Amino acid sequence: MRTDSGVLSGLTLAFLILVSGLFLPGAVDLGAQTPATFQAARDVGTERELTVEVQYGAGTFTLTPAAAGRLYQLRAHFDEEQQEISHRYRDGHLEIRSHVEGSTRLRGGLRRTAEHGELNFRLGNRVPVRLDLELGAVQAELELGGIPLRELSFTTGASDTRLDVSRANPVEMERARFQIGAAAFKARGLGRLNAEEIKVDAGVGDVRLELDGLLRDRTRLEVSMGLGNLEIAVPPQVGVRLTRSGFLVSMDAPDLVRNGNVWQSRNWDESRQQIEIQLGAALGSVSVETLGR
Amino acid sequence: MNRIIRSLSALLLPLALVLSPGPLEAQTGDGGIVSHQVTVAAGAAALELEFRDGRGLSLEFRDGQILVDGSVVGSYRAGDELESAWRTLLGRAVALENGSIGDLLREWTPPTGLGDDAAGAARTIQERLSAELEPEVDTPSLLRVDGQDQAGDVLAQLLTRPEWLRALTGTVADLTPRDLRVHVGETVRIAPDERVAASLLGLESDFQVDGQIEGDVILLGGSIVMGNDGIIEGRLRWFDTQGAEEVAERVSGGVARMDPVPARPEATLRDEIRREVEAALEAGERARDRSAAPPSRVVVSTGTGERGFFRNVGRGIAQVLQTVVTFGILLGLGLVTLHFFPRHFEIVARTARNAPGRSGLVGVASGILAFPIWIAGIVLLAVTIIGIPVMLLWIPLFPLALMAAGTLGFLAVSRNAGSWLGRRGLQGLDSLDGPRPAMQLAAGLALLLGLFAVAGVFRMGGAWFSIFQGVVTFAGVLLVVITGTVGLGAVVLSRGGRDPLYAGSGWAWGGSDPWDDDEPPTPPSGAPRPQGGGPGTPPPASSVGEQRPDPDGSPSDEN
Repeated sequence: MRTDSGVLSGLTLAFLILVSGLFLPGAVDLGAQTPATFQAARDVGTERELTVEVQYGAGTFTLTPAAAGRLYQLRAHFDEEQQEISHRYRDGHLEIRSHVEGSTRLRGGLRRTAEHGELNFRLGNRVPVRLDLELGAVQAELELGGIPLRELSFTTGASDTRLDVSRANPVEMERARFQIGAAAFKARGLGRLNAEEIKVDAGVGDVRLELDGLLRDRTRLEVSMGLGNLEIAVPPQVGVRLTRSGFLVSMDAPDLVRNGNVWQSRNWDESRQQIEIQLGAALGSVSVETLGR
Repeated sequence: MNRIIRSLSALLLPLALVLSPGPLEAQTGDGGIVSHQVTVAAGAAALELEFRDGRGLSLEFRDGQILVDGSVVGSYRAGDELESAWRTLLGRAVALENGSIGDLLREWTPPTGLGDDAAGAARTIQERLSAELEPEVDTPSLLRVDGQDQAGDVLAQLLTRPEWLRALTGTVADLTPRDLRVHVGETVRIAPDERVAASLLGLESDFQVDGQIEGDVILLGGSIVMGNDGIIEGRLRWFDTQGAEEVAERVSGGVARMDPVPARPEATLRDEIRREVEAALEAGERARDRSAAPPSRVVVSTGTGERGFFRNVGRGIAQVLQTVVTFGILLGLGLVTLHFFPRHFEIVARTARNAPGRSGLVGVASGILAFPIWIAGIVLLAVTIIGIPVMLLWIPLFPLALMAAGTLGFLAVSRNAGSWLGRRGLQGLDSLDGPRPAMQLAAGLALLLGLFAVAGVFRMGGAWFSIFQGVVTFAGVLLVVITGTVGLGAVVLSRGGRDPLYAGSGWAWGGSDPWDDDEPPTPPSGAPRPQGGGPGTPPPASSVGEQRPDPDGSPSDEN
């Protein structure tokens, strides 16, 4: 018993020391910054399609449309003591990766890296793109309006993400997939993605999905949510049918009519555009609201 | 602001086509550069260029050396005049949004008054840039506006007729890139023996075609009349043009009325412009902030630190809550099982305790074989007509049964863990000792799931505790996997808690069974008798808490 208590006390003490260490002045200011800037740009050539893989660990990330004639542009500001940015392009395949130094995490540098790192990425509007984004502890803003996206895969660990599709995707997309770990995720204009299916896997956090600007007559939204709040906003003229599976989930859908585990809008049968929502959630609250009301 | 420019660009694309001094593909200002890469760091300031014909050029100031395409051409001291000028140039290149880096590089001149070594290196750089960058060529125009000073007329005509502009917008995308002549407000006559090797664009012009036109004809307003020998080999596209429909038989490429591209709603355009202006203002402020600092000292404050801390705390609390909820669900399931199937539960728990090794091995085997058995069952049932309805049950029920078995086993082992905790003699936990399966179950679950809650607490500390969080989570997962495997094996060994063969001496033949009102079964004659839950020795009628060997041959401490 004494041994167990001793171990427990030791662990508690160690924990308290570590926690207090976080708040000691200068505890994280262990080294000077070495800021660096990296920029790359490429004009459209003979590419018929562009495959883009971005892995960005910590910092601020923005994605916006590029200037006319550009295939892509990127600009990164980072602390070269703690982070590396690599960029490789070959035959229509672009890879952008950031690497955070291994010792940085324990030296308190990850937060600093996140504060000072910045990656601005732009994609052109002339070549169709297959985009795969993986973001770690990142504050991200994505404006995908007008970028011709054939495929979109977005994975984030612990980030605050705002996604906006202000203009229609000029090419048809089969599926857009969002995998959100523990994060806040807000998306506007998802209908303009021109996607047949939108799949959202969210672990823990707050997720808001606005499906305005729908281009297709029928769109399927599949949401899997672990723990947290989910808000789905749909345009008023669009028919909505939501099928829920899961337990310990509170549903708030004042504009939909419930029938067992299915919620359906009154205009489902006569609406020209329809959204079918498959919702699986373990714990949390889900609300479905009508945009503009 | 870029989007405004792009919007206007899209709107004025036809004008660009009409008035541009060169073809759309040509970008004379960029010196043939198709890609550029700039790196500005403490010890390096590098520029890499790639040209349309595949050539490359690399210019680097790195660690005191000046390199051109990897070869050392000179040296520099950090902060000297040449390095400062080079860094300034790269800083301007980085600041370029959409301008031509070719122009920037072409215009660069190294500082004067450099030492011999630096001057030589600077000269090499400048010569290489001059040699590699394509000169700014005054490309002969493929688009020619006939008549003097008519560009202004074209602009005026198009801008005062937005429907023409939109019609032209929909046309230029697939316009054959040929010589294009533009006529504004003219009377154009193609003589019978005349052959025009170009395309024609007429704005409010009247065409009399008696000869031959090789290219396309685009008419906005005006009129067209074709003589008997007149022919257009390309396409005729028109909008608001008199006589265009009547000349179809004289046009080889077909006649088509141009449909104006629908105008975008004003509100949409207004919103876009508003957003662009806001974005441009923000970008301008950011650029001003950056320009105030030296080029390589870029500091961007996002103000996410405090929010990040609270976010971590929130996520940690969420993980703890998640663990609590899981605990509650499992405890509920366990209590239900204890209430309705107490004997089965107890037999599984004792099987796991008395034969942990055997249970573990059986659990691993069950886990590995489950999927093949499921598939084999489907195949075997599918080949017979009678089996097909059974297969429809088999497909969902087998995985469900496996999950139920795993859960039952996990709960039973958790109860054992609670019982073990009670026997440790820890203050406050004494009450767990004895026949209190519900409390033991709760304590065992808390013990097994507690690591996940601890991981949640570490998570509150954010990245600094990520290593502890990872270690604790790993330990928790390992513990749960081992527990589940042993539990599953115990369920299989005890036939779902019905067969006490491995449950220990008190549960085998001749032993007392507190859950069973009937007499214990008599072992079949000649059948192997369990020894401490295993075959061999007749067990003494002993109570729970005895020291006895376990079926794997190792001593098992029940206390």
